[in-house]
Amino acid sequence: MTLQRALRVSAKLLTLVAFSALVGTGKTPAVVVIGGFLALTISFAQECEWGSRWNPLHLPRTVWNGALFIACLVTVMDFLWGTQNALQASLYVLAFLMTNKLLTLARLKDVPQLFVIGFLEFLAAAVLTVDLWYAMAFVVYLLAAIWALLLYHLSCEAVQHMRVADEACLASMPVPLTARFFWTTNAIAIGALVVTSSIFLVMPRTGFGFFQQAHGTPIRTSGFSEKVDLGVIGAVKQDPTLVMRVQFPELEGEPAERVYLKGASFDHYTGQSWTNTFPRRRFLAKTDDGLFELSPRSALDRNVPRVHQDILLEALDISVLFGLPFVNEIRGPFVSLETDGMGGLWLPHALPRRLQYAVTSSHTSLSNEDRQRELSAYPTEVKRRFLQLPSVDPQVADLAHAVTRDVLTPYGMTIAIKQHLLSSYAYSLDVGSILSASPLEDFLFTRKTGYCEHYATAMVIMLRTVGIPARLVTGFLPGEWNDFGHYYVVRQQDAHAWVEVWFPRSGWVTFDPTPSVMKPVLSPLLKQMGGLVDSIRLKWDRFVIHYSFYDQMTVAQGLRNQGETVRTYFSSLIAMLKGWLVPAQDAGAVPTSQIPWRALGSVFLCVACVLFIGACLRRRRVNTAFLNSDFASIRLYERMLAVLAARGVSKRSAATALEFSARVCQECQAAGPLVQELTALYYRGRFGHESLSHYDLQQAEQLLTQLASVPR
Amino acid sequence: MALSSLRALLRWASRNRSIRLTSEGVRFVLLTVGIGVASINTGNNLLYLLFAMMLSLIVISGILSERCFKQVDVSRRLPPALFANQPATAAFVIANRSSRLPVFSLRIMDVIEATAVDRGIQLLQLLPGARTIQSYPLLVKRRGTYVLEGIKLFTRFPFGLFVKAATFPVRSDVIVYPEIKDLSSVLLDDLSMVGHDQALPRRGHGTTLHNLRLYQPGDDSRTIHWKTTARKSLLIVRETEAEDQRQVTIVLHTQMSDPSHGPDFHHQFEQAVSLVASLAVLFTERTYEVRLVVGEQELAYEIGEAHLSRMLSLLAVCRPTVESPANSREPLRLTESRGNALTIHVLPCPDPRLAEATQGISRVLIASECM
Repeated sequence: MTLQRALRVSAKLLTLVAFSALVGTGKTPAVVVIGGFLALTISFAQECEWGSRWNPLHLPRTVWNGALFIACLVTVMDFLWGTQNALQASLYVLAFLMTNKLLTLARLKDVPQLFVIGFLEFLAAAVLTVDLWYAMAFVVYLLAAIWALLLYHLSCEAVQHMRVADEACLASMPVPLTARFFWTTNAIAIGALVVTSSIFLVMPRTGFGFFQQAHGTPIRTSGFSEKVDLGVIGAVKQDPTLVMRVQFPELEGEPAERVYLKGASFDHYTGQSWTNTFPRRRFLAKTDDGLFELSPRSALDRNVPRVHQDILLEALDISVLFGLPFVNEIRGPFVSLETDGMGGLWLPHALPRRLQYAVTSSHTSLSNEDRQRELSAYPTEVKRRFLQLPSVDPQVADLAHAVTRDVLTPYGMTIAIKQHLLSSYAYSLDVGSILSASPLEDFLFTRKTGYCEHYATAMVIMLRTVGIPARLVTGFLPGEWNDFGHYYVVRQQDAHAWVEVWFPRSGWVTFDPTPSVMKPVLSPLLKQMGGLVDSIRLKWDRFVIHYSFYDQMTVAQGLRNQGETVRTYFSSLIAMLKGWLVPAQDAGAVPTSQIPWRALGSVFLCVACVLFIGACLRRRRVNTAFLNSDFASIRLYERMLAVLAARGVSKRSAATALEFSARVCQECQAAGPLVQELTALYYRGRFGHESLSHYDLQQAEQLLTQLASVPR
Repeated sequence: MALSSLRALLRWASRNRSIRLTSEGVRFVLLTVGIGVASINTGNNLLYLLFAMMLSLIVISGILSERCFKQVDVSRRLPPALFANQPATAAFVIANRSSRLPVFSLRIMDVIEATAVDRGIQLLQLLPGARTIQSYPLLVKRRGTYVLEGIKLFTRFPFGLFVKAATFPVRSDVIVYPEIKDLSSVLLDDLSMVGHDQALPRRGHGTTLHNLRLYQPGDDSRTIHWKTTARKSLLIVRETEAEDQRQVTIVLHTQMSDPSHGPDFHHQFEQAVSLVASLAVLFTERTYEVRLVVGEQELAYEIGEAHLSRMLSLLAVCRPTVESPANSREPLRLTESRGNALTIHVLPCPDPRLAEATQGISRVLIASECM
């Protein structure tokens, strides 16, 4: 392959990668996609034998100018009446420029222009997407860019070297594409990737916030606003769209207990919909280290277990935040945060981008006292809000009383109602899309099938009917556990509704009256693959897309702590050694049993390793120098000695090379001149500060062959 | 303290190294700055990633170009002496010490008076362990000691964004002899007669008849004296008297009589030096014993190439001297010659005192008139 062709192909490959990354965003107009790939196909065909006659494609200048005018016109129209996004609209012009350069790529100076066009496409892709696709494209782009830049540079140097005005010389110049060049170039690309990663991680993150752009349309979801119609969750229960990922940094594997990710709570039921009637929300105070506390740490019961969660929430069209009940504190990239009277967490408005935050929750369990306590008077505020009943059919109250007839305690009643719902009703998402006028009654007495919302609503109303304060909560079940990344993948279909019941001592306790549903099981291979891909995607999101100044500070803090730990360890070790080595100064000699043998062993091992590596490096350096300057001549001389030794002429170790040569001349006249010449070569290479040339080595080989054929 | 440490660090980092942007590099850096500003402004991590990629290309450029320099051994080969204004061939010897990695895109230049002088030597690729000799024509304008302070390597490898230069302190001092000029035909005719009256009474190469003798096998047939051969009917050859032991003294007068004529005098002095060198070469070729007197320095009668080198070396470094008031009234210094040896005085320019001083002197050549 000639250098010219190699450069052209690499430039086109680079453009292909950039354009593919742009197409992968899914925001490229169809006409741009089709036109771009068509141009790329033709341009690659130009590099083949049969397509070379169209290389470059000669079209009248007016055609190109006309096409450019049309591209500009379409761009303006798209900006004014289409996407109304300058970046997306400009893709038409960019694609046209790419097409033009691809098809008319003839001179060396066209190549950097194609590089720039490709780079702009790749840049546009970076702005338009945050998908994992871009990560793969980035790696390939970097590799292709290294190849293309290197070949371009070599081409420029070749043209300069040949001192010709045009690049005609490149057409005949072979590319130095040896295996070594191939691997060296790839190694450079890997090195560049490592350096890129290092710079990316270290570079301070700041964002002034001008011209920021949201990525994509927020996911539409329902059931998490301040008013929820009964039955709306059903619409999302069949949607597999990913909503969030939840990681438990302190847990090794999947949590033992079932996890509920609470979103919104509702206290008022109208008979058809649930609403949150708390008049206003309270802004949470933000501490200096960016923490929002719902309840002061000092007020928390230390015996109550706390669970930490890292949540990566996709861009949703709602402003509620999710977390395990009951949230104590939350940290994330929020300017402000609000809470309602039921522990719900709300952003001032829905954010059209992914959100990563950390939540700490306290797990509440029912106290024994509440289990045994009989129905008693509740505080007025609790009664007013959480015993509210709509005008429901009296059958509901009858049913509730009938179910709880034999139990006296609120806990017993709660369990009885829950068991009744679990055992007497069937889970089904097929309940029709038309909202019923009395959905609760339909569920309890007519249809007797429903899903989480119906179960939860029925339980809350039945509990309230018998005088137990309860409320409805919407949120998500944990979804699938990812074994690779150790986190839950939560989808729309995991949206759920459940019940919280108020007990005087324990507060709000979670109950779920909805029966478990068997999900369709994927094949293990598919599940593993999906898990792996999603795990990589999470890492991409975590360490690239949402890598922040806070993360950098955390890493710095971690390093400082590690350094402090190491310093403390060595200080104590030195102190220990001092006490051991200088026992006479005081009576505090360290007993042998207290000597840190393991630590001492580690130190000695480290020192030995360092010495060994140093010795190896030094030896290698000496060897390298030796190899470069003298090795060829020494090998040559050794071979000559071996040939002579086989003929019974051995060199005494005390004899110099010249003395030995003279002796050979005396003893064996046929071999004498050959040995003299070889000795001269040896002297020149070994002591003459001059490497033997290729010709010298050839000559030496001939001499050795002749020497070997000399009769004994 | 910190500032001085920083300075020391900078000095260490920039030792023998320099770097400048190419036009492509300027565009690349501007694009990088643009991406950097965009990433800081938007806080978009993918823009940060692209920014990091572009910075990494700059870093990789620096590392690879440095590696190019580190794995290269470079030296220079020069002739032992040069003549001013006469092209000679010098060479760079470049070896790749690495046994694994090739070296790309090297441009090699000489460093003269702290300036890189392009010799048009460029290496596209040097394979691992390979060694190459790149020769180039060298033309030095002035006599004297020509100092090549070092060798400067330039590379744009790997991406052509930067031109990185490394200076290797490979110093070479070479003596540049004065320019040897063709002497005018008049002068040559005149000088061709010089010494013919000094033929030595012994056999040798010359023109004066020394002896006639019988032809012996091995004698040059051109030396047969045909008239005598015809008369005696025996092959008689002619032997000539030796002329190779004839002696000449060349005196270069270095005193500048009138300092106000400085620039002219220097030019004329250079002409005189060149004339003396040309004469020295001429007489050495004619196997004369040549004695050279340059100002206060003197090289005794000798013959041969080695003596010629010594004479040319002396001429290469001689300088005009300004006449001091103390010796301004002294007559022109005349040099004693051996026996009837020829003496040629070379003066940079005509001197009024010369008429008096040149009484009895064989030849006086005025450089400005002869060259």
